Amino acid sequence: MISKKRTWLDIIIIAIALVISALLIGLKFLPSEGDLTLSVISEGGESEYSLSENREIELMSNGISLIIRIENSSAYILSSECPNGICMKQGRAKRAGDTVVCAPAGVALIIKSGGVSHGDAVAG
Amino acid sequence: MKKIFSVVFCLLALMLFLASCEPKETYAEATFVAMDTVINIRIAEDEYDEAAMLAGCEKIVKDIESVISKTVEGSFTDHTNDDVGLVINIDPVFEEVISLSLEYSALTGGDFDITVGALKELWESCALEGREPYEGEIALKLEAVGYDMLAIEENSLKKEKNDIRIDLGAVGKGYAAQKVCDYLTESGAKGAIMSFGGNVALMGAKKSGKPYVVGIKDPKNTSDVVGYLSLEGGFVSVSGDYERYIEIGDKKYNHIIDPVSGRPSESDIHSVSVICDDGALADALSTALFVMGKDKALEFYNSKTVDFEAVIITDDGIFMTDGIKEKYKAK
Repeated sequence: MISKKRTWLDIIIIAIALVISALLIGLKFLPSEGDLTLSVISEGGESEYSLSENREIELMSNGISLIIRIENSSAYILSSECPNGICMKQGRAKRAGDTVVCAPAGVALIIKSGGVSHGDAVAG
Repeated sequence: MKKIFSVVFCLLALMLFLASCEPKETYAEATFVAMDTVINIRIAEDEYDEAAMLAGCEKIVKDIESVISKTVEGSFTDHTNDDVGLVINIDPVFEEVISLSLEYSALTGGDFDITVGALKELWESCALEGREPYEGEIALKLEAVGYDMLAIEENSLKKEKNDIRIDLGAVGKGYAAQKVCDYLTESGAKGAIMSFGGNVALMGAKKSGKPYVVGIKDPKNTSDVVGYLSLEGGFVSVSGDYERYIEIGDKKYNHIIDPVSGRPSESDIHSVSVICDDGALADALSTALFVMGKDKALEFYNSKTVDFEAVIITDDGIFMTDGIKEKYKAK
């Protein structure tokens, strides 16, 4: 009788262990939320900034001077000496995947997510 | 008991083994700004010079940009947009893009039209002034809209009206993506994943042999996806009302101009993803289907004029063409 009880308990423990193992393996492939960061691509390469701290970034790219502002977890082009100034009318980038581009300066602001994965690529 | 423990131990070991056996997909990567957008290219790492391939890809894109971009001074688009009736000795790339564009315009009954350039510029300049264009201004620009007023003749581009202004933004990225894919295939790359401002190009295969998984961005929450496509390769081009816009006052206007109304398209579509084997066609079709609206877009698909598939997102839900349903999985 005692032996039978132990057997069932063992089976339950083993089942739990299996479930936990499967979950741990699954977690390896599941997306996880991460902090948002701002990636700035320019003639000089790529730089990353935290979105949590308000600041202004001055940069020169393709001979064009720009000021990027990070404000309230979003980023936008505050000023640009580019010919048409369309980049300043593109609004704010605040969600993962949002971009703001100043084509003449070859500058892009991209919001990146620390850990979220949506397959091999995201279209849209 | 010992038997059970042995079995469990073997199962655990097998699970861990299977998890670690998955071939790791590693890519060499380059990100740069060209053609008014962000371009990201990832080439599957193997026993070849990925850095040289990435440099080759960037050169191809920038060479195409220098020929077809309206914002590049001295490009053939720039020349075409001068107040002239004829552009002679045109570059072969420019000729090919124009020829393809005119073909796609005819296929879509003018819903895709590269002659909306003057209208796009009008809306952009008015946005800087903080106002909508006046009806008279739109009507005036509409007189210079119509793909049938362009023709390629003996290495020249002929314009019926001098003030026609072209914009290749709705086909150029797809064309460039196609050329980069062709180059990578010729160079022997095993696989690559490319993003041209949200348009995705897939070549070769993954090391695991599994299909590529492409998320379709949720138009209402652009940091999320609505679902996933499993694809062996090809192009996914997306036009949406969220991706690029101009702000006038508190109102946002999408960047896709309806060639008939002369205004930003008031489509019932929030986003349309076109899946097909040709990059330029996918790019042009996504714009055309967006302008068409959901019902006309599905009618166009059913007419079998062109071979493509599509995922259309509206307020009423997600609509898929027959050939993509099995490859789509909702999130």
